[in-house]
Amino acid sequence: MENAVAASPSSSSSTSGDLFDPLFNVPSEVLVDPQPFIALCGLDTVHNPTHRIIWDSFSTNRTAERLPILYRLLPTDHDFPLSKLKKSYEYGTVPGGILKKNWIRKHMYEVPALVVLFVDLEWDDVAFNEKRIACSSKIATLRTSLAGRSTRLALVMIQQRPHTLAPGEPSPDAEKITSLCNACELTLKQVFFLPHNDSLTNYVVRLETALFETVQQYYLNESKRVRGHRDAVMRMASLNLPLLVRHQFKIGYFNEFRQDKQTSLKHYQQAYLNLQQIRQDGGFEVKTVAMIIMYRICRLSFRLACPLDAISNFRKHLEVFRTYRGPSDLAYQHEAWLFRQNLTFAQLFEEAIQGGLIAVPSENPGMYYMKAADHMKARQKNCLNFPIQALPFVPSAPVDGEFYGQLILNVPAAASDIPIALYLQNCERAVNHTAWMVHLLKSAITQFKRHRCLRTALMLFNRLGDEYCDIGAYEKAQSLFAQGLGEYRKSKWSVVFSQLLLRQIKVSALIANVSEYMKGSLEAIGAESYLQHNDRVQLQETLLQILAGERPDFRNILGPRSQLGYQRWGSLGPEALKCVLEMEQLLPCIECYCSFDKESFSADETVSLTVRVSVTSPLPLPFRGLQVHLSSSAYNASCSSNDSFVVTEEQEHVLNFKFPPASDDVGRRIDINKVLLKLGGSSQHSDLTLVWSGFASGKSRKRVAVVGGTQFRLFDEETDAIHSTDIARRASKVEVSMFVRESLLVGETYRLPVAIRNHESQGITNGQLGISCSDEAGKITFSASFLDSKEVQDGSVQFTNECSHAVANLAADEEKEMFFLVRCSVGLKAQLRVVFSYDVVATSGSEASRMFHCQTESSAVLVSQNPLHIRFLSKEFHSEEYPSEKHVMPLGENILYFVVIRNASPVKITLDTAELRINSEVMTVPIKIPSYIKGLSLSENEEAQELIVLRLKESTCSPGSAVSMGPLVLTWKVADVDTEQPDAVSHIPVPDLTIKATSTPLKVHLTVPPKVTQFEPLSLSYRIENCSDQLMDLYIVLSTNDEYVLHGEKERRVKVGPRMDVVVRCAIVPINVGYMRLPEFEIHSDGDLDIREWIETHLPKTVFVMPKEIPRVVGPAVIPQPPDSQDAQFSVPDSVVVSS
Amino acid sequence: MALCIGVMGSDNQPLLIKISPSIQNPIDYHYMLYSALDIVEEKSQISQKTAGLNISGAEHRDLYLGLLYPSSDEVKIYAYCTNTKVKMILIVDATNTALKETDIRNTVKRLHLAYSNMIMNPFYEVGSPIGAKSFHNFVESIIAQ
Repeated sequence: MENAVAASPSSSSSTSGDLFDPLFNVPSEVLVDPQPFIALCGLDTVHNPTHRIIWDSFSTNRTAERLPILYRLLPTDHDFPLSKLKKSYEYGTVPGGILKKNWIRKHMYEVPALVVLFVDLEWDDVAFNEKRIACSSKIATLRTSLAGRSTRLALVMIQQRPHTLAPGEPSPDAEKITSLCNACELTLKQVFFLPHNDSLTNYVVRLETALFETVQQYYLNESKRVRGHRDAVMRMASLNLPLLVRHQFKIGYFNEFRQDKQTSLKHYQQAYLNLQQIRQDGGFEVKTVAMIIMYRICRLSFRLACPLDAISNFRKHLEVFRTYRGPSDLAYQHEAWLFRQNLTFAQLFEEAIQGGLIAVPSENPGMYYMKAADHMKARQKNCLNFPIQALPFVPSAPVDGEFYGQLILNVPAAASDIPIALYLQNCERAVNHTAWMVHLLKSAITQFKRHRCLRTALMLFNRLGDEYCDIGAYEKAQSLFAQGLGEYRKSKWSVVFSQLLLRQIKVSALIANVSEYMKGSLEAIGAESYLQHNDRVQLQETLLQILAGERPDFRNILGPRSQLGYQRWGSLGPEALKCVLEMEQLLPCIECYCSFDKESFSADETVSLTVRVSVTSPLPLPFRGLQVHLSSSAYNASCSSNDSFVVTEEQEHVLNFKFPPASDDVGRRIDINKVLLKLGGSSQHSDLTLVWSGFASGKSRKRVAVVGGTQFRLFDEETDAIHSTDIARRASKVEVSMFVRESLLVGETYRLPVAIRNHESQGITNGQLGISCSDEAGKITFSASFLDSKEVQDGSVQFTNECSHAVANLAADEEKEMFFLVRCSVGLKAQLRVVFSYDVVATSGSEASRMFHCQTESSAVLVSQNPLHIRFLSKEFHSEEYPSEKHVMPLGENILYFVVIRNASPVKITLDTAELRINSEVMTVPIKIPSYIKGLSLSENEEAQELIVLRLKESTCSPGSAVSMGPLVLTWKVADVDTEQPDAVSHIPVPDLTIKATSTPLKVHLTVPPKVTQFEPLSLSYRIENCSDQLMDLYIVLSTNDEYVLHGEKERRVKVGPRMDVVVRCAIVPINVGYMRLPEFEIHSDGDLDIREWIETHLPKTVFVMPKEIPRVVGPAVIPQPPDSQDAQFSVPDSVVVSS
Repeated sequence: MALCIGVMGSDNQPLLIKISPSIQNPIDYHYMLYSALDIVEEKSQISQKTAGLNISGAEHRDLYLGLLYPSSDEVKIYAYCTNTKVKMILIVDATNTALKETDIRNTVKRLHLAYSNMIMNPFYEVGSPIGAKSFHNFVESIIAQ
């Protein structure tokens, strides 16, 4: 028997994989966007490669920039669906349904808008006429097949040899075209040429554009045709609403074919409005059609980038149908419909987001997935409440009817009296609601996570866990719950946390996960949990059962499922109850407080540690022992207790540990690493160790009470618990002092006296005295070579950056003085540190005497400065220039080298020797001058000069190069102090000498007597020395001025043989007193001899003339002195000039 | 008037949650408040971004965040976020059409005022659960209205 019942068809695909749901599936043809349908005929793609290529150009690579067209390859004799006889519409009759099921599919895939016939036809084909006739017959066949439809026809001629015509040029084959058109009864516009060459794809795209225009026209005409029907319906006195909805929908659909989305949307909305006016009982068909129309509306709205319109339309849609609940025994159908609406909308929304839409957290697809899950849950509840009444046959899902929303049940004839509701309820039982829920919740979680709604996603985790519990997947549920628990614990949402914790405990009990169960129980029975007192007591009773080694019966906790938990726990081995539980991340009912009693202990003290254990559980908790693990494992034995104790909520348990610090730990820090608490009474069946760690992280373990947590208490001391302590050295009783002079000199070796006084009651051993300077490392050096002796011998004294030296044992109250040698290499101010360490045997408190290592130190500021400011000056032996720091010297001549030493420090120093180290290969000392500075004392800013005569060896030096000098080794000491301080030796770098070439062929020497008096003749003798190997013929000119009277020849000619000299003499009488210019001496020669520059620098130019008689004057006479009298001592007598 | 009122601190920890005694499943409302914090955080960020400066230079923004889930059909959730990031969430029955948006806005403002008065108590540690009786009574009076 067939029974038509308003329900939903099942002929659509489920987007959720293999999940089955017979109700309210959106038909698959509605899910896709309509595209104009063009049928291509006459292409033999199997045998003809050209046709194959053409078909591929049409059908493949349909990217977004190509026009949206659906092509199908059909044979020329294809039977298109017959057009129904165009009866004159009976607009008044009520149709069998609203939307015919096959209509959309028919227009999308079966009735083409255009049939294109492809023929191979060349203009110059010899059999053109025959082919024309064949073509016209094919066209006629198509026309017959499409009788009654307004489907367009087009003819495409595939040509290998096309004519290429300029626009407006008459075709040479106009006659042939006309004859072809006439034979096929086609207009010229319906005939196209497709040249088959390299640019076929471009031609195909152009052809496609031309065909698309025809197609658009077809769909426009179709929508106009339907519009005519609609107008007729609207003119009726009583509105035929189902027909109106159908027409509006069809107009909308045809416009969608035309890609006119706005017009489509308008007609769909009109159809939806009209649909609302239809009041059918229950409205199943209406609901289905409304779902289809709303699906298209929302889809178009999203496509038109109006997501808000889509959302508001959808919300109105749900609002309209909210009250259409239907009969109560089929209430699940309404939930199924609501579930489907939300699911399809969520999928549409998600698709739009993938297309570039940006959603916000408050409006994202996850909300709709979540609502779909809510409705699925309601549907499942309804399903579980069905009366249990088995059918005598296995019900099959309903089959489609002719219209959307009408379906046919296959009820065997023998069971025709079974109520339809019972049949449908049995169909519903086949739906796997839980699998749907899991799928929906997972989708929702993905969406919420993507849209920054992590808390909402977390909430869905819990729901997902509940679903897993329902189907017995407890392990999965447990891991989901654990995530939620961690987050709620952290964010202090205690009510939610406690409620979830209870679920977690139940799940852990069911899968016999001991550690999770214990952790959960310890948290749940604490005062911080929001469980009822009764629940807490029951949980603790079960916990105590486990601790006592009994097999727990979970009747209190699990209710009907307790048997499963009881069995699982029974199968556990004894080792399963041995576990270590980390308490750090939890909020357990046991508080463990551990602190050192002081922040620092001295090495001779006893370290003490306090541990307090308190509980907040409703019943007392037994413990079997406690251990504290410190950072050094050596103390573990001292910080361990194996005594059993019981802690109640009122009374905390306090344990004290004491131990002496190990001598290795002196100067280190001891941390509390862990506290291990053994839970349980005397029973050996369970071995649960609770571990608290994280003391070293220094975070405050004080907890903030949660909402409503009234009975919660805080350890006030908790905030300043000391989790690590320093073991300090025993305080020293030895005094060390040093005495630094006010100012030290750079280079000086200073004996620094250090005094050590032992105030210990015992003698000290193993003493070690060290000195260092941390801030100026390398600039101050020390030596301990003469620690005990007062006399310092020069020699191999090693100076290092820091040094230390063993000190002989000192008896009680003994005093000792020692000396370090200190030397500074630069002027500085630095902190000196003297450290004395030693061992002493002492008693600490009541304990036996032990050896302690002690240390004491003293520091002082040291100031040093450089006393020596040394300049180097030089001049040529014969030169008239002043000594300078240029250090440019000629070869083969004697050089005067001056060392000027100035004392820049306020300390008076005594100079000893100044030795200039020279390279004897390039330099000699031709004249030894005794040192004048030995024993000379210099006060502040006093200067002393040392003179050295040097000569460069011509054989080893080349002009222009530099000769390195030095260093200058200066030995000196601080004056006016005791002789204990050794001599200081300063090595002073000396600037390089630059060698100048001296290849003058002539030298002129002038000797002036030391005293010149006014009006007394002064004899000048110029000795001219020929250094070359040739005879020189010279012409000498002496120019005069009015300061003297010259006797002798002013001009004369002399000849000088090679390596010989000649003396030219003259006499002058000075007229004035004071400085007098000497005659200018010029030498001219026939050759290119030019020694003017040499004469300029080597001959004296002035002489000082004394008055003849010193006049008598009253008062001290002012006698002009020659300038630079100091230099006078360096004017070397003529006789010492060594001529080569 | 309200089914549930929640006050959350700046770290999103609950300071006070009151649920109408007529509610069968109060735990659902805890979850609702917890989930709503996602939207509150989002909305308060947006309102911070769009906040302009008024003439006096002080930052001016609307503390009232309005309806959180526009498409919710059973309950309506309204939120308010103070400048110190204290969140106040009000859940009302969506079927109660007599309730106007301005009533909600005034109610949460009064709630804010009551909260401000409450934290003047020097013994109250900011961020800890609220124990003040007067504040509890005030919140209960809003629910009972």
